[in-house]
Amino acid sequence: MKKTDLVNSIIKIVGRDRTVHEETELKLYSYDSSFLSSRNRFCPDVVALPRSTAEVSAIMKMASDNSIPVTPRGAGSGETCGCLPVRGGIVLDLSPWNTIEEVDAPNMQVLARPGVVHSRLNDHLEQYGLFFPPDPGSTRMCTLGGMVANNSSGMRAVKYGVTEQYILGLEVVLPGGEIVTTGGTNCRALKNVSGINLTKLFVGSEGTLGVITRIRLRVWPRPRARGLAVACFSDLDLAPGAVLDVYRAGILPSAVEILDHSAIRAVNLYRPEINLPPAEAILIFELDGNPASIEWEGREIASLLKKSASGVEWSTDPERVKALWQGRSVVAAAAARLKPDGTRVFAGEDICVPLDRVAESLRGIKQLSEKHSITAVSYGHIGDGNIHTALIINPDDPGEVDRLDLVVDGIHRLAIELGGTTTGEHGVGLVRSAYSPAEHGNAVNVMKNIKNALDPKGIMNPGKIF
Amino acid sequence: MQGNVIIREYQSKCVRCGQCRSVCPVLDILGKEPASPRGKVYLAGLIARGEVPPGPRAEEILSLCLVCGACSAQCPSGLPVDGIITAAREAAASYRHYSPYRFMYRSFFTQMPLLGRLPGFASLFRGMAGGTPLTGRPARHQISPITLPQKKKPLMRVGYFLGCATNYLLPEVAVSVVNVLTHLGCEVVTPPFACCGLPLAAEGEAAAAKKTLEVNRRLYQAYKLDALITDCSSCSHHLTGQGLAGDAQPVYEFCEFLVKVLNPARPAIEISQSVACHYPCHLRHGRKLEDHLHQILGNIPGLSLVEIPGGGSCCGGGGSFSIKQKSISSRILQKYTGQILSSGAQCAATVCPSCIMQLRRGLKNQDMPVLHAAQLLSRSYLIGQSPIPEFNLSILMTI
Ligand SMILES: Cc1cc2nc3c(=O)[nH]c(=O)nc-3n(C[C@H](O)[C@H](O)[C@H](O)COP(=O)(O)OP(=O)(O)OC[C@H]3O[C@@H](n4cnc5c(N)ncnc54)[C@H](O)[C@@H]3O)c2cc1C
Ligand code: SF4
Ligand code: SF4
Repeated sequence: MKKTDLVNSIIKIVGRDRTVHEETELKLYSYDSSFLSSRNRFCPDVVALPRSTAEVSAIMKMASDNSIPVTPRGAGSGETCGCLPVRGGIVLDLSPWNTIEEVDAPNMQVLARPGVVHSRLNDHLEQYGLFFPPDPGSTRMCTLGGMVANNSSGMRAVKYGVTEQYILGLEVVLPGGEIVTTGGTNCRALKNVSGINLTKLFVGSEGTLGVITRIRLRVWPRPRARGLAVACFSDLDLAPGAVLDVYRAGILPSAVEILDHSAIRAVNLYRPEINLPPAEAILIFELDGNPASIEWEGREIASLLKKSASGVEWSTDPERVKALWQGRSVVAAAAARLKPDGTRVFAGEDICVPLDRVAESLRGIKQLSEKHSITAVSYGHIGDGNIHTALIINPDDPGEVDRLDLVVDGIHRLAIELGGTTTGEHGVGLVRSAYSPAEHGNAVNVMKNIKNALDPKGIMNPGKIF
Repeated sequence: MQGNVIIREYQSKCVRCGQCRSVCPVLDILGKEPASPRGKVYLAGLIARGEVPPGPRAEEILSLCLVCGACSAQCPSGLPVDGIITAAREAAASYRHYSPYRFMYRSFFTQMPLLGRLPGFASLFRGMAGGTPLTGRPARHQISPITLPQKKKPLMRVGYFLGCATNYLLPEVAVSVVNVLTHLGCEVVTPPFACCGLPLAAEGEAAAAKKTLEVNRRLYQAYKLDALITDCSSCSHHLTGQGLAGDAQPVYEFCEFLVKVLNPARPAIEISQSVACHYPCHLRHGRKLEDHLHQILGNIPGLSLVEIPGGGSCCGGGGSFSIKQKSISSRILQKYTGQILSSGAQCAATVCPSCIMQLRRGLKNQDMPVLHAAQLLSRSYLIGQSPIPEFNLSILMTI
């Protein structure tokens, strides 16, 4: 199909206002937040901004008839090149399709279109005393569609789990244009084991199996209080043990975060007034729930921590909680301070390892960064072993970029070696597809067979995951 | 080129996280990535690296920006996002730096004090600003260059930075500002300042903007002022951002001056109005001074401040944006005035002449007046005892 014909057929479906085809504008659909995307130019031939399932279906049918690749896109906050059209074709920008169609408060569920931004949903749910618990750091930008496609989560996954657990059903447009609804989309049951679980098949499929056009998700009562315990460790090895001690005491915090030595240094350089103590690691435990129960649990955690840590503090005072959080909340922005003129890049940023190997992983990352002279800052969700490493480089220095690639590869291999995974929450996309065979063995073939069955022409977000 | 230097310095620090997407009023209307702050920053980088040539295509995308600064306030990497966009405008327009349009635009804003003397200039200015109704002669002809407080010895000698929009479009605001300041004991001097330079900087005319800044700096120093006050959030943002007077002689936004320096007694006369307070973007994101406006209005007896649902937003004005991107500007305005109306307020108040013009356009059929905070204050302080004849405020309230 000629490009002009393709553009015209998209215009016919969604209208001129919701079609992007000018060359310069298309270049602005060539990135997400991954470093890899800034080193390539994955430009679409045309972008459509659909606003109805019928429009998406018509686009998919046309694309399938003409074997044109289609890549769904939310806010483009992903870190994997997931939403980029690596083989050209059509990009579906679903971010403006952001209607919250229904809040069914008595039945604790919401029906929404894919472009709804996570924080907007939670702001809206506040009036009902409800919330949607998965909490990615990208809450202010990422869309529900992107979260479902990537099975996103955040630091509160320790207690609340990941997106998958909250999806009751989906409306999906299959690569050929057929519209299906899975699980509980058309009913309001909160539990549903009827049929093969297609909902779970689409959650985490990274846009490779179909386009998610409507989401029914369950929501939870909003916790009434929050508290924070902070502790400093002079020996990194003691930190994972302290987390286990808390679990063993029968307490499940809503988040357990770690800042290692590099992160503490970065925060102090960025905001000296925060003045974190010069420890090897700082742990932050967040508790949420009812005031009386978190008060008891908080004090219990504090006394457990005192056995192995110094500077232990527990507070439920909102101002103090905010101050104690500060170190953790600025660390991503602070990371670049460790290297003058350096830029933080998103690469090798999301490994997840067994709890008892977190210390080993952090040391391994430090060794890799020293060996290849790449500045690294590590922090993350120690509660479930998910480590976010911020690598700081000068992106205009080709030598440094080559060394970065070595560090990133080393971090991913380290995770697999230690019995973990290359990605705890951000996904595979293009940047981690090389590790799929090592992580999944012949299960990759099963994935490919499922993909072929649903997408025989291979037009749905090709080039990703495997 | 200066633009490219700025872009190179900052653009590579954009991690493309997309957080700025959450606050951009233009993206909110258009939905497409090229309209997002991130898209425009990325485009800036492509232009600086020569991957996209300067030209109308790039200019068009970069024109999708109000220079409101919401993105910069939101960016976790601390980037001056709107500054990168205006630098990119300079780079994108470099192919027609000497075009008649650019030349006229530059001349218009750099030569404003001279042009202002030409007969008919006031009408021309008003026509360009969208055919605003005439509300009197330019302010400069209505207020004297020096106004002294009526009875007392002046507390301090302050300069009034009478900006272009207030001078030509809202002279009654200038009268109120001078009235309030003199009432509170200041000697008010109104030197013939040039444009603050923001309209130039926003269009990517950094060098011309610098020139007006120099003119203003010389005047400021020559007049030996204790402080400089502007009634316009945007002038205040630009002048402080560019360091007009260094730290020694600060430039204050009107309410900021009242709160930080004068700390005045509560005005006496009741204004029984429910008022929706509009925080201009440059006040909110640029200067972070919303509290001062809130405090000043909240201090007026009888006046009840009403929350705008959603906490208020951009009015869509953005100076020349409302002319160049009329339809987007109107859509932002329409959405926002809907929110203001649903607040149930009788009147809206703010501290920016450009926002006032824009909001009046949006609310003209709704019987809701839009006033500058100085007008409300002036009424609450001074009714019947103005040193300069005030506009009839009851008429004003119905404009
Ligand atoms: C600063 C920062 C912090 C982050 N923190 C976290 C975190 O704490 N936890 C976490 O899990 N992630 C995090 N992320 C990663 C990212 O924000 C999430 O993966 C997010 O869910 C992606 O949403 P999006 O709307 O931006 O999707 P995009 O990036 O646009 O797309 C992501 C993938 O989803 C697919 N997709 C999008 N919409 C649809 C749809 N409607 N139908 C089918 N496929 C679709 C795309 O094809 C692509 O493969 C972070 C990112 C940044 C930049
Ligand atoms: S918020 Fe800042 S770093 Fe993030 S995309 Fe926008 S400009 Fe770039
Ligand atoms: S300055 Fe305002 S309009 Fe311009 S990109 Fe930033 S948020 Fe959008």
